[in-house]
Amino acid sequence: MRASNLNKILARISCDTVLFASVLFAPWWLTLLLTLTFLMLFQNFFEAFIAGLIIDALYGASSLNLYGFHLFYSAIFFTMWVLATIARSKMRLSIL
Amino acid sequence: MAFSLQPKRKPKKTGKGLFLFALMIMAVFTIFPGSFVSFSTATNAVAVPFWNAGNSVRGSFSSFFTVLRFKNSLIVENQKLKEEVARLKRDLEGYDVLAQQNIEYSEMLLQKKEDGIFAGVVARPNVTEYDTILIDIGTEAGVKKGNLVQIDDNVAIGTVYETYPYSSKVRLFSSPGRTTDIFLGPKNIAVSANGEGGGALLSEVPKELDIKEGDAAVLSGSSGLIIAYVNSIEKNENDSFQKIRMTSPVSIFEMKFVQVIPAPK
Repeated sequence: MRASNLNKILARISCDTVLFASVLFAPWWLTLLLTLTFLMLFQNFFEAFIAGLIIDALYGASSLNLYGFHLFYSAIFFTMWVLATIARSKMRLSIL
Repeated sequence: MAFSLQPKRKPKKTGKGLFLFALMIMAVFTIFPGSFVSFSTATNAVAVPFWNAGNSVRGSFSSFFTVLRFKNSLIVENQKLKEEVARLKRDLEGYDVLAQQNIEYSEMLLQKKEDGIFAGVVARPNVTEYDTILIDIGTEAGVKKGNLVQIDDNVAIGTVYETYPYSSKVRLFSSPGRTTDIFLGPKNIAVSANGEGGGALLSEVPKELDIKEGDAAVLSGSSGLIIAYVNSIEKNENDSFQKIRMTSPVSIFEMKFVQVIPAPK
């Protein structure tokens, strides 16, 4: 494996760790900000959707409102992921 | 036969397969809510040790920085705290008499108060949303849906709405969209209070009712537990109602421990 690829993988794993730690410990807006940043930095950042699922599983309040819909954050993060992928394909931005 | 010498272009990765897989997961979780509950239970079981470790680390850091504080600031703080304690003692004069009366009345009504289960708060707003908190005990400790959650002896903060083996979600009375029946003010006026988020509640009552800032909002029923105090009152000449804004007596962003009160048998 080439060194540059290894660096990319390591960077992605580090960012994943930061993102999932923020889900557990940081305010929701910081998680959202980090997700947006990582979505623009990495190609196909599907971890955003996983983070959304975890937020829904941990803090979700389906019985409170939203007409019983469980996956509020998953849906938002999924949409962000799709939009970021489309945006990246239109731009020449490719950092990692 | 002709072969192109140009290198083959790799098809661009669009991640359509991943998108479809993610949509499938969401569809399964929506159509079969039971599968999402299982996922939620597993996620909570994994997260609780991390939360506990995080709280311990946070506690160690805060005690470390406390040691580093300047001596003078500690002396000043000590003096302030002494004054605060003296003020609270004055405020609490007569509390014992009232508490004794409360016990007697409760016994008269044949309503035995159950012992609470002590719980640590592992996640609170603004990590959690919708004015909910997560506590580190669940069904294994006897927590059930609907159990009342309180702080101290006389402040109720919410009820348990989801339980897992080792953790539970508590919905605060201030949760947006939640309506709670309360007794307001010294005359115990029965009204409904709506959660506004951030520890705030709002109630709209007729103008004629005499309610003042600082009045207590007590949970309806015989528990006598306070859930909020009147913070401000908005009156409009053209409106026959007045808006009563209330806030929880405890900061929902700083709660560390709570008590879960089991339902009476």
